[in-house]
Amino acid sequence: MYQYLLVILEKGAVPFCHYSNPFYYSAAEPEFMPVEVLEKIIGYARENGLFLNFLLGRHPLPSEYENLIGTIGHVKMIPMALKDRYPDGVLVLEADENLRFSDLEAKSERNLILLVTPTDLPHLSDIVVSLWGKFKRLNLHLVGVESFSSVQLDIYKSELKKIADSLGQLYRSGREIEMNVLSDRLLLNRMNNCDAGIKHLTIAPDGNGYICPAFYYDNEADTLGYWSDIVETTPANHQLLDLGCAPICSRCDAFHCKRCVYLNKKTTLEVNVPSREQCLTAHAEREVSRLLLQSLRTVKPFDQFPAIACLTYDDPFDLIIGETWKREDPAAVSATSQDADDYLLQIYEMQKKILRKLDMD
Amino acid sequence: MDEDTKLCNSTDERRKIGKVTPRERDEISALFERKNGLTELIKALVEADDEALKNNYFYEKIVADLGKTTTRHQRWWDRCAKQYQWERVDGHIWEIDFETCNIFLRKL
Repeated sequence: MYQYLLVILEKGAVPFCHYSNPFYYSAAEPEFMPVEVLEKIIGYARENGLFLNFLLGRHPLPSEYENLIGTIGHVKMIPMALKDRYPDGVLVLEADENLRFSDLEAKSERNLILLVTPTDLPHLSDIVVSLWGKFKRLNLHLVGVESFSSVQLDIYKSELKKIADSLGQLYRSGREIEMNVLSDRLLLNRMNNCDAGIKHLTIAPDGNGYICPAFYYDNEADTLGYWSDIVETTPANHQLLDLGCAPICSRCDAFHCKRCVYLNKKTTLEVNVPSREQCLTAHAEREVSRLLLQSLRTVKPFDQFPAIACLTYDDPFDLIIGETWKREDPAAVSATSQDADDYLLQIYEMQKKILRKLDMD
Repeated sequence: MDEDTKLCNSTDERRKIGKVTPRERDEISALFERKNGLTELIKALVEADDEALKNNYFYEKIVADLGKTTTRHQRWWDRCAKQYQWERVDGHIWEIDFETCNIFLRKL
């Protein structure tokens, strides 16, 4: 049973993840999902306690639609063009429109999504830093990650380090913001992936169901079936979407990784096998998160977080083909003396606290 | 409306009005390269000013190929513009950035 539904209200809906939507820029009048289809989806979600995420395009919704979706708990994913119309929506920003980011007012409780293409990478840290103070959580998604070159990966890594330095300063000053690619890994102790097709189902404007919007925009024929026919059934080979059936991912500890099944399918033709580019990117993020946490060892509440192990590989596939994999926890296999120092420091700090507490008692 | 496929680095007076898929980008990129190559070949033959060369089978092949390539090139723009409903403005041209797959509207 799904936890929530993603409803694409028009074909030109804003892309918000690793995929592109060429219809988003269309100058034509939008063709919204038929209102009777939307009504049934909302009715079903209400009866079954499902949360709804609505994807909007550049056009405001007709009042009939607004009234209808206002009757149920939901989130609207909106482009910059609708930021004033729907101030509570989750704003999706494209990094190449960063000159307009100054129009965004400071709002510390907002969630933002930032889409970044390879050409935006050299300015990534400047773009992200320009958004400080304008969000509570920033989800950064790389578009075109599947074709990242090693040079682009290096640029991404170095930009992430600059962002981490700046984020570290914010944390030291007591600010509590999140950025998926840097802060999520600090808090996670197991995989927290997108889980498209497991936790959520996407419904296209014509009512057909898809694993996620990327499958719809890539090939409309990739549908799982009409939403009402499939929402309570298990699609064929559904188990392949599960982490347990992903031989590489299930050995990985880049817990924050989206584990995008669309990119998997696109690059390796298997939904449960990631491309090397995805793994390298996720591990670059993991490594910068590790360094960030190390630099915050004396800062509360980061002093309570378990250290992130230093790895000797940057793609978990190396664990399978290399000699380093010995059926133990990959993190344990490759922990270095630096990590051992970190653990000892944590034990020492913990013991001090226990002794202090005993003294007080 | 005129169309062009120059990779343009200048951002003056141009506005993003569309995007194509990487597959579509690869199609137009190949046609663009072919069109350029054939145009250069013809130019070289004309500049050589060799009547025998200009009247031979090779020259005719290039001209025919250039004609076909130009037609396919134009069809690509027509097809994508129709499919994605790109904005049209008099006195402006469309251009594509091969790196980002973005389509821009540029004032002539």
